[in-house]
Amino acid sequence: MSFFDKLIDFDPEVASACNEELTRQRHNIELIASENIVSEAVLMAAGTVLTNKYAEGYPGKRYYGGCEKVDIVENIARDRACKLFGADHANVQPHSGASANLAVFFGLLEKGDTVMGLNLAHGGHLSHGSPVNISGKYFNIVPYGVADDTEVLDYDDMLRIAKECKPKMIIAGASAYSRTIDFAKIREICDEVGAYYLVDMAHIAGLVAAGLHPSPVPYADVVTTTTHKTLRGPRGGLILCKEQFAKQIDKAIFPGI
Amino acid sequence: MHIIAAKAVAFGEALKPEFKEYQQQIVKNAAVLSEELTKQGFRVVSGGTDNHLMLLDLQPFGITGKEMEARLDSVHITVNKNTIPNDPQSPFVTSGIRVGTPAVTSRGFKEAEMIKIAAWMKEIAANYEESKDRISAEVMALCENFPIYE
Repeated sequence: MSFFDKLIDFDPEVASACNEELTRQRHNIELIASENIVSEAVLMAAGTVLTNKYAEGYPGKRYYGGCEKVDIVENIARDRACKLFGADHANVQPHSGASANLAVFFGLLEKGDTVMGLNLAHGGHLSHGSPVNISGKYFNIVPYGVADDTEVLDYDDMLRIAKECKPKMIIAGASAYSRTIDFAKIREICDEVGAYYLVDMAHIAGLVAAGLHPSPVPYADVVTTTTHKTLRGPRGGLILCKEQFAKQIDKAIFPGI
Repeated sequence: MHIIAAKAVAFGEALKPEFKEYQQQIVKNAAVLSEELTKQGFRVVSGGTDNHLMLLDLQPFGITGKEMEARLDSVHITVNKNTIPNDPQSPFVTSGIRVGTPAVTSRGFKEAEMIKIAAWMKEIAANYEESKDRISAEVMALCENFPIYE
């Protein structure tokens, strides 16, 4: 496959670096858990004339003209995402998993609210409340973690912490955790303390879609994910939510962030 | 909007039956890799994996995550350093690496390749200087047998 046949004429500098990256991918064993090799169909779609289009707003309610065709595409994406995960509502616009998470913070919380997320050092993610991330700077983050002996999520301790700090939201999900997450149990903890429940299933979305990891969708108020990683799509984000949160989430993505 | 088009295509692929088989292979590959790495002397955090990834504690080999990442990079194996629970090292150095199977499964690697990878990783951790040139050539040869975008 020669992606760069034309680009090399217009911009040899960029084209040759892209070509070298292709060579690197061909010659390397890629074991980074968050990376993947997408299909040619995904690459082709990412390289289309749709890059020319502004489409602020949502299908049928745009702030720009000429959106009839891109509306078709966005509706297909939303419908397929809902079907794939059995979700009420999908927002396919986030540019990344981190911005999907930010939108949930912005849509459901007030600045300074208390949020529980998995400790970064125990396998959590920067956007779940690291002090150097916007989530940690604008919100009061209380981390939970894994048990010292088993290195598995300590749900009893999570409940204890939740009762103590009364979070407005609990985030489940991880970037370096190799065990099944009990999404139903965390729902119980959220109910007990009256917290919103966000699951970031970025790493395991492909497994969830295939039924190989229990789905968070029936339990969580909002589920975020990247569309790359195990899901094997382009680099981007996705938010799924219950119908009751659809308006808040859509408003948080646009015009919110 | 071009990325939304690509998302639509990817979701379409994920709705097909082949996607389930692909995900099953990811999980099988991770299970075999975790088992083999344990046999080779690595400590897998929490004792194993249920999904597509695992966290390796490199302390049994007396090297850091930063060092292991650099060594593997030099033989065409790409991983990232990662803290382990209660890591004595800083996040820039770490005692661990994170290893996952989605990408290698996409290019067709199965259980047999996982066994090879585990053996190479052990040699790189325990016997780097003597093994690096040979392993680098072996990795390149294996990749040639699993072409991508051709």
